[in-house]
Amino acid sequence: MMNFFREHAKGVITWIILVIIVIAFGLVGVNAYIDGDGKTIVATVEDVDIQLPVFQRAYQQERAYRQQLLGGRVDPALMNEETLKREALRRVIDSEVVTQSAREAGMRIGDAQLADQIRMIRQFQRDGRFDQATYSQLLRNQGLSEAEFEDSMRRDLLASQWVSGLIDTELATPAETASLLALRGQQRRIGYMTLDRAAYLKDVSVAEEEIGKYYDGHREQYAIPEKMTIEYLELSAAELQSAIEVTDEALQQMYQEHGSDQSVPEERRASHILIQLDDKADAASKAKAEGKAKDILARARKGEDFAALARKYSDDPGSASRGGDLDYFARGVMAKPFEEAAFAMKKGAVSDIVRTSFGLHIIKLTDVRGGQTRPFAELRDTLTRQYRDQKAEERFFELADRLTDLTYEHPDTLDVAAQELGLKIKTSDWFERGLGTGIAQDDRVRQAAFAPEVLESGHNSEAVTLTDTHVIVLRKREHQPVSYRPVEAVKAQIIELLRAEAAQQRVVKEGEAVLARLIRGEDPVALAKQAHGAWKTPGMVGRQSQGGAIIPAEVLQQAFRLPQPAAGQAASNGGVALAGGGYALVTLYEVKDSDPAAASDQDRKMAQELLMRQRSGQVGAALIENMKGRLDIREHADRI
Amino acid sequence: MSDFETEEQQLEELKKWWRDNHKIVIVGTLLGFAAVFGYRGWQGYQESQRQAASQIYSELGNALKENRTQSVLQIGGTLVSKYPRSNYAALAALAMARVYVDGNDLGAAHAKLQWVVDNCDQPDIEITARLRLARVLVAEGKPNLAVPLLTEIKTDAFRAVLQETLGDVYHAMHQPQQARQAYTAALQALQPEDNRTLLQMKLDNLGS
Repeated sequence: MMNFFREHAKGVITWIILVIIVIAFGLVGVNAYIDGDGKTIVATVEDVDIQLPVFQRAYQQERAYRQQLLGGRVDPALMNEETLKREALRRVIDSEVVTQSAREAGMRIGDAQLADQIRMIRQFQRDGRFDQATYSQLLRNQGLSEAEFEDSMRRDLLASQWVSGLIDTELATPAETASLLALRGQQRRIGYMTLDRAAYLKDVSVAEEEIGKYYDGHREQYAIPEKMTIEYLELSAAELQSAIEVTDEALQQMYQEHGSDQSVPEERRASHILIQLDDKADAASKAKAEGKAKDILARARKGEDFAALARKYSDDPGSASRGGDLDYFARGVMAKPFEEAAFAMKKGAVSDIVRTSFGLHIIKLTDVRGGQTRPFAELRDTLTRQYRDQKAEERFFELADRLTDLTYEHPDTLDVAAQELGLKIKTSDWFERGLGTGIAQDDRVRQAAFAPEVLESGHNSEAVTLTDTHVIVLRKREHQPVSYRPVEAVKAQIIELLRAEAAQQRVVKEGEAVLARLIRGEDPVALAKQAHGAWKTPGMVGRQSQGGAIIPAEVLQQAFRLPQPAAGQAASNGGVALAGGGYALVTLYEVKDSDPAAASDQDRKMAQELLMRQRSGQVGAALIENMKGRLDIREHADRI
Repeated sequence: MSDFETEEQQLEELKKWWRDNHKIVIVGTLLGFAAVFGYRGWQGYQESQRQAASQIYSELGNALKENRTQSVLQIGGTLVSKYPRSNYAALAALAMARVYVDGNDLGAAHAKLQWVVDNCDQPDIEITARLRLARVLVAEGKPNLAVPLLTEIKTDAFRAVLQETLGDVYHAMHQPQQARQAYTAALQALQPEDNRTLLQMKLDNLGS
């Protein structure tokens, strides 16, 4: 492309076109989608891009977290992919928002502070002390550079300093704690009666046309969801494995090519004596350290016990007590000059003086292990497995391509592909859009099956990728559209429902009439008797306590919602419909707060903590909202 | 410059210009350098001040976590006096207020929170301090002073907490009508994941 321009870019017009193209790219931005590394950006907070891998990590964490909550069970409602993704995206954005506003507010984590925190992480310690080699090794295993890790650690520290400064300082005043205790332990003296719905059922009847009307108005309740079955061709590397022929020749060849992969990496064990010498040390201390090192080296070479020398002179406190022993290490663990020396020595030898950033080392190589190549016979099984894996995978990709082509070229049948590729056409059980068993357990399969090309046009689906080495192509076999249970089948059910509704209306009407008389001051006991009920006086009740008798939950709730009787008023009254049918009348005579002074210290403490926890949770969410409001945030939910 | 001038003439003119103007050019250049380096130095100084404050503040955070109240007050005092304009000082004051409230010293807590409200212009810290100061005022028996403090919070993000606090304030002022209104608004503003029990209990207690 650029060559083309170089050769032709002589005319003015070409130049103008080139300029326009460049400007257009700059304006529309290839950048909008892809940054320099070709990575997808899922969100932008101010000028910071959040890339797909960061989101994906958060998504995995979210998923693992929910799975853990559910104890390993997968509840489709809670594990809804869409919800999980939204939640994960929100989390990565929140975290970026918090970090940015922390910086904006002048929060900083200095290098020294960062180093302190990293040194405190147990995983990076050996014998209770931070160990640079362990640190480097662990990060390498995670595929992280030290700079990357330190940067993300700094961000985490910054965010947590900022959030915890705002949230962990939340307070609960003594007054608030006292009023929570008083309110929660409050007791109320009440009386109540209930009117039973069943008593009114005999008085109601349901007209035929009402049944039809109800059925028409609530058809969805009586729907039988649409369902289908599919036939499909399944291709997986795992199934292809058994058909792979393994010959000795092939294995031998593989051994020749990859035999050394199977060797155990070489490890060496050394002891050392460290004479500390700072990079920035002045000439005098440098000379002094070198003198000391030369002296020790001479003594070691003369045959003095190396371990004793290490114990006495080494400045590496971790190893000195063990006679300088560093245990086995592979390449890539120790400082480079140290490693080079140790891997160039013979067992039992003592090195010259080696300089690293820690200082001067005198090294004695005490053992060498690993590094040998393992014989063919020993590796045969491993090689066979690898060979099968590899060939099956190659075969899979070959066949998968053919499968896609053949099912696309012959969209109205799977037979051609089945015959040519030697695959069996399998069939599924009935499944619905949102629910299935067997192969239809996978929602990608269900989605493909209910897609218009398959369901309506009757064509083969595209290849549905279940894993990297597992695909299926499917087509519709049978389909049963949505149907509705006929009105006759649900008539009895509807009649019962309508009667209950009518009876409830009557009981509420009656209850409200009784309530009016109660409020006028009529005797509740007599009123209850007239309504074929009984007036109950459980005395003082608490929010949860049921005063010995079983009080309906709605009655208790109503009792604690009624206004306190005003001065000079004997009681306040209210009525409430019962969820299970019926109506209750409640009278409140007296309210008595619990005495906070009488609460135990533990209760007080728990109440205080409850207040702080709830407050800080709410304020925390509000703070993040508030920070978000000040930043320019762009989400690209379509790219996740 | 005219086309007829010779090179010599041009050189002469340049020299003359230099004689007339060299002082201002040199002084200007030096000033420019001084400004650039001065600004950089100032930035570096600020950065190091922030890091130093952060280091001290993280000790305070540990002390707060471990409930070493005396250390919180002591370190907080240092931060507030040494770095009064840093937001670390404001956060330290929030921590000190918390410790004072735990120790039932409402006056001292009030003073710390008031200091933050008066001196901090970082919106997150400032609003947090306002909400807490209002509650300390209620505990001190001065709920009427809390109303203007709260009604000045304009951002919508805090609607639920703000209205609940306002409800508590009105309740303490024996104005059940306003309290009910505020609690109801708070309930409506709650997020689905928030716990409504306490708030509902307070609302119910006012009677319907």
